[in-house]
Amino acid sequence: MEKEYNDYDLWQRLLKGDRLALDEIYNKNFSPLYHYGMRMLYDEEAVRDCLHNLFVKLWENHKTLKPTDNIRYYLLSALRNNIINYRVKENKYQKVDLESNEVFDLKFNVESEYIKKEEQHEKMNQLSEAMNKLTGRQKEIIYLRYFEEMDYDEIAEIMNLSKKGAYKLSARALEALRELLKIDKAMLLAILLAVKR
Amino acid sequence: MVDKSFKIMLNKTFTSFTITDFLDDADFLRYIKYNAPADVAFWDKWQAEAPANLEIFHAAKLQLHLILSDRRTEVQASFKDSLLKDINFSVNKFQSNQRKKVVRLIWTSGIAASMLLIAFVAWFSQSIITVKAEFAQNKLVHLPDGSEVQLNANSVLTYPRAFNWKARREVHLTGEGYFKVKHINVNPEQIEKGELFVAITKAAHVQVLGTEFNLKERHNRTNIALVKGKVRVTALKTGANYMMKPGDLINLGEDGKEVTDGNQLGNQTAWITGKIIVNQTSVNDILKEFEDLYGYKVVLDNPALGNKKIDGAISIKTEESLLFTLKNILNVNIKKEGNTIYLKNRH
Repeated sequence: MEKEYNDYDLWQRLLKGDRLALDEIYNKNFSPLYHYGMRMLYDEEAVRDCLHNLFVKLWENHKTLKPTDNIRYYLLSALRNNIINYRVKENKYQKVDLESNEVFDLKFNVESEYIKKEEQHEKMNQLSEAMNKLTGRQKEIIYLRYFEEMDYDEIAEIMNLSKKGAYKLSARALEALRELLKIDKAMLLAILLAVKR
Repeated sequence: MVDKSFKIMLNKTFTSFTITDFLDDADFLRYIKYNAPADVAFWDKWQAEAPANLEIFHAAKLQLHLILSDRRTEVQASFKDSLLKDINFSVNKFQSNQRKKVVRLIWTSGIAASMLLIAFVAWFSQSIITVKAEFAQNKLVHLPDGSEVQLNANSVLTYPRAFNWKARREVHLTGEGYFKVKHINVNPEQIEKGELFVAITKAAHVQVLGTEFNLKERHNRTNIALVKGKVRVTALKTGANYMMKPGDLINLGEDGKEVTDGNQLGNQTAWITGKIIVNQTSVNDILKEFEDLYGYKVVLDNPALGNKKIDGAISIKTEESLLFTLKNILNVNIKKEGNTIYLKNRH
């Protein structure tokens, strides 16, 4: 609760033209923005451009912005739009296959965390590879859901989906994951054991 | 926060949860992600009770671990700092551009406003108002200073729009007008700017402070008849000055000199009441007046008739009344052809 109040307050300071509020907002939200951007663009320079643009625009338009009590969500949403625009612009100049618009980086590195045994390494890699076959949007929704801990309302809005569509996409993503997990029961047990400390 | 969530947690029936339920559950996610002691204790206890869906719980846990096994690429601290510097640099640039824009706007709008003002002042000070009374039409003109001019038919009065702002109140007249000039002079010893009123015709300047007078300028002859007050008349051609008293009449002839041939209408101001008062006035003079006022050309069948002298008052309110009077006095028939009126002797 207190965090939300602070967010609202901090945002109000920005709307009133407080330059320090802009710095504070940047410092508080840099990390989730950076990581989200990197997952969508893989390119640090591009992420830098988009973030730069986002914060400068934020200041330029501070007089006309609407109040919010969830700055991180607001900025992630704005950054996503920025990135989509960036991709569209890039595509104009260089022929990038359209599917790259759907790309989202989410890699599962189970083996490094839980599996140490050399002989299992190979199989574990196969599993990760298979898991990484999830579509960009499936990965993105998993990221927003489990890493950014957004609810379905927020996800739906950020990803331009209906709430129902967001549920569906998430369910399909998790189902795909589960299918992959069935590949090798032995592997599952091994992981389980590892998880159990 | 933890306590509150904990209470909600207790109300949930986790024992009937499916994998999807677990994965959608914020408490479960928090437990896996952050391993808070309260959460760990809760779930340890829950597992110890060996619920029916324990395996499902483990599967969900495994899946979530898998999902969360993705690790963020590390950011260099310098990246964050230098980006913030760049952002602030751009914001500062934007701010100073904004300020320059405002200054430029003030400048340009200021220039535009003063140009507009100059244009208006130029127009206002140069612009001239023209009032014209057509044939058979009288007009009352109210000047900006409160003076009035009764314009006789076929006459034009012009004056500057900035009448009150000029050094002298100046009007130009062709034709005939009866002036009632507002007296605004306070100290006769010292005439201030704008207090002097000048009526100008081709042949004369009539300078007054505040009077009533009739001024007539037709056929290169100028008549000034003073009713009230004091005026100074300057004949432009001769440079002669005349100080007039009420009742005085000055006639300036074609050569600009004063004439006293009496070849004029007797009462200069009777036209205001719609009459001409004639006193040993020739028919030619009366007809000339008629031509001036109504725009006709009058042709006399017998030129000798024109020299006939008449006394009395003739109505000039309408052309019919004037023609009717002439017809009876001169004993002629009247024939109108377009703009020409023929007066023919009755035999």
